Amino acid sequence: MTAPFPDTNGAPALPQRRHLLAISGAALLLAACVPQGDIATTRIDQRTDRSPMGMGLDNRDFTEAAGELVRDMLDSGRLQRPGGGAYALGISRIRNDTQLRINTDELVRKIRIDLSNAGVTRTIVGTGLNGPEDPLVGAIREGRRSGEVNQRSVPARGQLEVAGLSLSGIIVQRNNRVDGGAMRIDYTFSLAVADARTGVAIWEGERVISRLGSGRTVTW
Amino acid sequence: MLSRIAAIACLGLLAACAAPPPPSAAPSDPRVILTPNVAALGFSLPNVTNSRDGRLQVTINVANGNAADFPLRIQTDWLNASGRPIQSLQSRPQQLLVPRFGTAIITADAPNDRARDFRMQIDIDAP
Repeated sequence: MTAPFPDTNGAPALPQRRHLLAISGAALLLAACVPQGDIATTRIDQRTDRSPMGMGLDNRDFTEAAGELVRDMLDSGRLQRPGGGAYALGISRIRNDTQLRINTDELVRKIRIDLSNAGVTRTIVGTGLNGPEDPLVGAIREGRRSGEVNQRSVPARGQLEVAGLSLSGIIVQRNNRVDGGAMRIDYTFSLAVADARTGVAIWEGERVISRLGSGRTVTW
Repeated sequence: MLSRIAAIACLGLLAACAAPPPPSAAPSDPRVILTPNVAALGFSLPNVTNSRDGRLQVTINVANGNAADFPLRIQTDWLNASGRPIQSLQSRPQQLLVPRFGTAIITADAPNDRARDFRMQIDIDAP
């Protein structure tokens, strides 16, 4: 049986070349899907985490920034209530002025937990800038109108506490191309604690985390 | 006999000229654990004080006599009265770069006044 398109030069005929091209293209696509290297999934222990980092922010950076800011807050002594006891802390706006998609609660949560465990603040969750953080606090008060609810278990009026201190802040990113084509990125974490009664900041702190890496890297 | 004495004297002189042993890096405090990786640095004994609000504060001076900056990784565990570690941001690993031919100060603050003791491990910060 003879080939339908015999080629005397030994080179594949045009349809055969097309087939070869299609197969090569498919092989390339498949190769792109193959995982690069054999990196097994492992669990990371935060205490011994020495894994590589990227140009963006990861959990280590939030922990570092939060830890330094809490330490500064406690060292300042300004969160020590004169009569003793803990201040009621409300969480105000923490702006994300970076190219990253950050849930600023990741930073705030670490700070409020440590302050609470240090005994200097109690976080207000029944009221908040965008409604209560814990909606159940308000929902159980709806029981006042229900005949199905044991009224002795419903909180009396005038029990909700408002914030005595307000925590606000901003995370800023600044990119700079440096000599040799590298990229330097500075992330600045700035926080302020204000006396809610007077509106005066009683503590302000800042922590900068910087990266130097390839200029071809993107952070988002 | 005379040449033997001279040879012994020469050996003694050579021994005296040999490089002095490096300063002992390990402070004799069982609360501070230095890994062999940081033997090239000099460390002071930990200075433990109380803050105004009763929290423990630790300070250690570090000297780097080498021609290269030295990255340190410090892990401090704060222990309560029962000897159990207190979970806190202040127990996170800290990084500190000791400049070449320079000094740095390691500081660690207890997260609250329930911390009674600490364990500090100092290692090189390298993968």
